[in-house]
Amino acid sequence: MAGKKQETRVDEGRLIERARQGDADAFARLYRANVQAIYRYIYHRVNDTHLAEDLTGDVFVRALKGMAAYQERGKPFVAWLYRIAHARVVDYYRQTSRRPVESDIEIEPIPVGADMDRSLLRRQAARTLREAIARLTDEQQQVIVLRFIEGHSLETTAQIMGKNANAIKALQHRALRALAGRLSRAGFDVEAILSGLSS
Amino acid sequence: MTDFDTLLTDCLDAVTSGRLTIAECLERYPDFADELKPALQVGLLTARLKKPEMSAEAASTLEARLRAAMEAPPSPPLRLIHLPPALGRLAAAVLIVVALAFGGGGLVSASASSLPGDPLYGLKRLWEAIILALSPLTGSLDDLWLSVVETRLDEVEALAAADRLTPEALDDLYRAMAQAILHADADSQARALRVLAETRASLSHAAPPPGGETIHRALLDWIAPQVESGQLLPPTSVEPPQNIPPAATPAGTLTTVPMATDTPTTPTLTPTETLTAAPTGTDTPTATFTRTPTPSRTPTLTPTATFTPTATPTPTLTWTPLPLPERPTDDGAPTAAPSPADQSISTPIIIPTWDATLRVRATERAIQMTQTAGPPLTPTAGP
Repeated sequence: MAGKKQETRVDEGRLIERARQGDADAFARLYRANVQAIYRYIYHRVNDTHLAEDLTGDVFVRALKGMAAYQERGKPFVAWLYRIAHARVVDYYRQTSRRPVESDIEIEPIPVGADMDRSLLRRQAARTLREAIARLTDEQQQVIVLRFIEGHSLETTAQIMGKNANAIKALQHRALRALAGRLSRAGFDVEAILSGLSS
Repeated sequence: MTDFDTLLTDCLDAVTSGRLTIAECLERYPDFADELKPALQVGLLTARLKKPEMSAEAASTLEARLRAAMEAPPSPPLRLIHLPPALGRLAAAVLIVVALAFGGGGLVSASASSLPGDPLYGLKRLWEAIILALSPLTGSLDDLWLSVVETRLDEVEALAAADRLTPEALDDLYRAMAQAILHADADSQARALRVLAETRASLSHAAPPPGGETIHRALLDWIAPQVESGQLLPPTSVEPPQNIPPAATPAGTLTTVPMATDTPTTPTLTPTETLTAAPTGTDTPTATFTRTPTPSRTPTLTPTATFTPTATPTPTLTWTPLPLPERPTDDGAPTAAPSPADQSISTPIIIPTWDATLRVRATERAIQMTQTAGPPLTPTAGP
């Protein structure tokens, strides 16, 4: 497993080097390998499909412009892309004077029963969760997306966010507590939804 | 971080990977069950939900856009006026020689320590623009732009110390930094990061000027992750974010008029504050080659020496990198800058030959040597 990961990193290193020298195919491969992760990261931050697509485009255009200055420092390439994406989202909110509202959400109750269509339940739960995540603080959003939606390890999340692992543990705790509190106050029964998804 | 944070992290990893169920985790840590349960449930639910994906069409369109950008010819270097490159550089070279010959060298040096709002500041920016326009003859653009950033930073620090810092000065710092990072390559990255760290330290100590909170925050937000990660982040835009005026709400006074009759009382809203739009965006004066040196020097030019050319001017263009105006030394005084009094001495500039190895400081020394009525310079009288 570790060997495979190492091999992937070596391949990525070669692609980066070629992309830095202007190889469009190499950059396209880096793009294809990372575009969905960056899109999801932005999508959960802005909760809007078209806006997320636009901002994802901006991230890769900026990455393309910055390739000449990129230096591999033992971190995965995607960590750099996440940083650009984070900066772009912050910039977007600054430019538009819009901020995610750190307030409670109002949701339609999700009826969970034996006859509930599981895919419908999944969609409704996903929408509610996205709304709740979008109302967390900036860093709380980041840690939730990176740890639970993207499934990154604690160490990788720490690298991406430029913090140490202990800080990420504490941040993760605060983020989950805040998210659970918002969902609970809105009448969102997490336990029932989990049961509905499992049954 | 607490022990609970570690315990939660371990349980989350176990639950999301399927190694343990939530119930099993709670059984292991009954003392923390109440706090663990909601966090584990939310973490697991978030991890289980379907991950959204960018549509295949949007992803393909973006890839095509990126490929087109990569395959397009590189954008032309920054140029102030649109002349063929060779002609533009020759024009700039002639301008430099003329400017130096008419005492401009002293002015350029004197302008090096000027600040926004000072009389010579426009000349300082003009000189910078010329140096940039002459790249790569004057140096590589990444190094030149980093020097410009250092200059802007010096100005911001000086203005802040004098309580004269303006949003426009921060906008200019942002613009220079955006260009520096866009032009940075692997070789100049270390210097760029050092400059960013200095900028961060300076801005952290400088209070944002009135109306400049947005750009001040934007600069710090942009710089901090770069300094912390050791990786440059290209800017969103080469233009600074516009300062957003604070959301002002018209303060109103709600007064009700008591009436003795049954007539309904009419609330009257009396605005006591007028909303005015804060200025957005700032224009930096654009320097062009058509600007002439300060004319006050010309009338006092009285030749006192005769110069016999010793060689036919041959514009061989054996250029060497032209340094930017000297940065001030620690005591704030520009190095090698003749005093204004010295500049009033009207002595023609003797340019020994047209061996145009133009180096600003060498020329300035030549000016000073001439002004002190020293022996005629020879082509070997360089630094």
